Amino acid sequence: MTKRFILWLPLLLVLIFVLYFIVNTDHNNYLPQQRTYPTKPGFILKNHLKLPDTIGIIKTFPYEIYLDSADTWNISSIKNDLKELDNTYHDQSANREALSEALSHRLYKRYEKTLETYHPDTLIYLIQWAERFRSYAMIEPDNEIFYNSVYDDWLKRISNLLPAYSTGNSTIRYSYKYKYIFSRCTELKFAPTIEVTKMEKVMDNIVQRKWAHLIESSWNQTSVVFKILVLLIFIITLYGYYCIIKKHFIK
Amino acid sequence: MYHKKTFYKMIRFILVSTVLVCFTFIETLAQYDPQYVETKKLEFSGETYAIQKIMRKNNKVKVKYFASKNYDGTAVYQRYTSWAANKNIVSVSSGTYMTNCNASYALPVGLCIDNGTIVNEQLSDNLDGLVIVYATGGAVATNLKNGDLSITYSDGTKKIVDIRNSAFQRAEFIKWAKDQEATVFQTHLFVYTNQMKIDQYTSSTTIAPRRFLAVCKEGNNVLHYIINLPQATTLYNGSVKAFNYLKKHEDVDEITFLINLDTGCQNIFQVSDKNGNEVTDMNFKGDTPVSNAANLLVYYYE
Repeated sequence: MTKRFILWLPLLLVLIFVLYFIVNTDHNNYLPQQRTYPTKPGFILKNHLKLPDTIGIIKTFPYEIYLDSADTWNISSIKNDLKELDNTYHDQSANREALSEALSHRLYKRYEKTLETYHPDTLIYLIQWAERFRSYAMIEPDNEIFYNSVYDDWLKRISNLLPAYSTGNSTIRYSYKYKYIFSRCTELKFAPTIEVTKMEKVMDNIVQRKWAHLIESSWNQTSVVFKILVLLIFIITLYGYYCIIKKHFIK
Repeated sequence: MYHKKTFYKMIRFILVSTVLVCFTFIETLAQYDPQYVETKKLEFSGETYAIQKIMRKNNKVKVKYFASKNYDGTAVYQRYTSWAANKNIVSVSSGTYMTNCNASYALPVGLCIDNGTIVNEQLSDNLDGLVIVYATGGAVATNLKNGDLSITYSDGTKKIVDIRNSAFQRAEFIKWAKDQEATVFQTHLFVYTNQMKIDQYTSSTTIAPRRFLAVCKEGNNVLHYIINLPQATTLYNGSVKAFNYLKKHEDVDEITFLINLDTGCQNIFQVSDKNGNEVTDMNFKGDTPVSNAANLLVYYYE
């Protein structure tokens, strides 16, 4: 009984190990729906612009007041803000760059603390918000660069965050929401680069049948002890085959 | 009798002339002029260096980059073979890193644009080298940390953009690349304007065969070097070896940039001699066949 138990023990341990990952993975497949925000009337950007502008709008733009009060979910409001900027300052490119800075880098600063840890719902809301700018870019070619800059920046930031989250906690890579966010980023051509473990690389090379690369990498990247261990296992396996052939096939 | 002798003389003359003409013709059909391409294997301190030195003078040897499969799914290898049908190939190598090792769905890591079509819009924060391959056959690289990427519009106006720190300027650059049908990719930048940009404390300690592309200046000449180090080494040590080789043995005036070429997921390397035959020396070969390419950097002679 004890002998049998010892023989089955490694298999049992592997099973427990696999079950642990299955049980601990978040399989919740509820996705947050698109939010609808009430419009925020009353903010007039013109009242907060400095005149004359000798330094440049990118430096003097009232970023914090804008993010506190402007209606960033309402495209009509954003377009109106652009119009007010163009009426006040004549460098249209700089105006757009300033507003882009507000809706990308400066807005990100407000989420930075939250996004230090993995909050999938927040990431999904941000993708839903940023995607709207992609659509605006398609229908308004005059402001294509402005809208694309906001969309591009947010997708880039979200895509860059995914590898960091999975490095800290590898089980989240198998959760539904993580895979959803990963797939959305990849679909939108912001492919995240997830670090794969050495075991995953080995499995990948086996599946791809890249034997030459597998052997070369194994030889280069493993220690002498590991090489000796593999050689011993190989010799023991060969000996096993020899015994079987000798017992059953050679009289 | 006399007429027979004359006849045989004429036949001999025609045969010799034909052989001479064919020989000359075959020589002019050579893959490339060896004054522009030099392939050599060297040994220093027990290390093998497989070098291909390409002179860009007169724009005879050009660069082409296949960043990814087409939007319709045509694989890189099919794109390459169709394009290469009437080209004199000098060498072929893998380009930048891939998101995974399966060429059928892997994407290049970092910002990647192929002839104006976005392949990956994700600007990587970890890769400082941005390479632009022009349709004219040249290639330039910039250090994204410097924020001084220069773009020239069709009307001649120039603009300096910082695509890492400004979302708006990044969008401007991407629009420019689309309009110019430029090819762009990111990779590790190890040397830029003679300065090492990699240090041994923060870089990867994984050892593997290494391959680098260096663009150098020697007087008024622009030289491209593909330096293949078949013996496994770290990125840092490999870069130092390549740097020292270029400075001490090739004596170049300036290493404009030295970038990494993938030897991991796709270790593709193939070099042709001047007659178009593949160099069979293992130091000039990768362990992945070209048919499995997820991206390709190609030098060709025109």
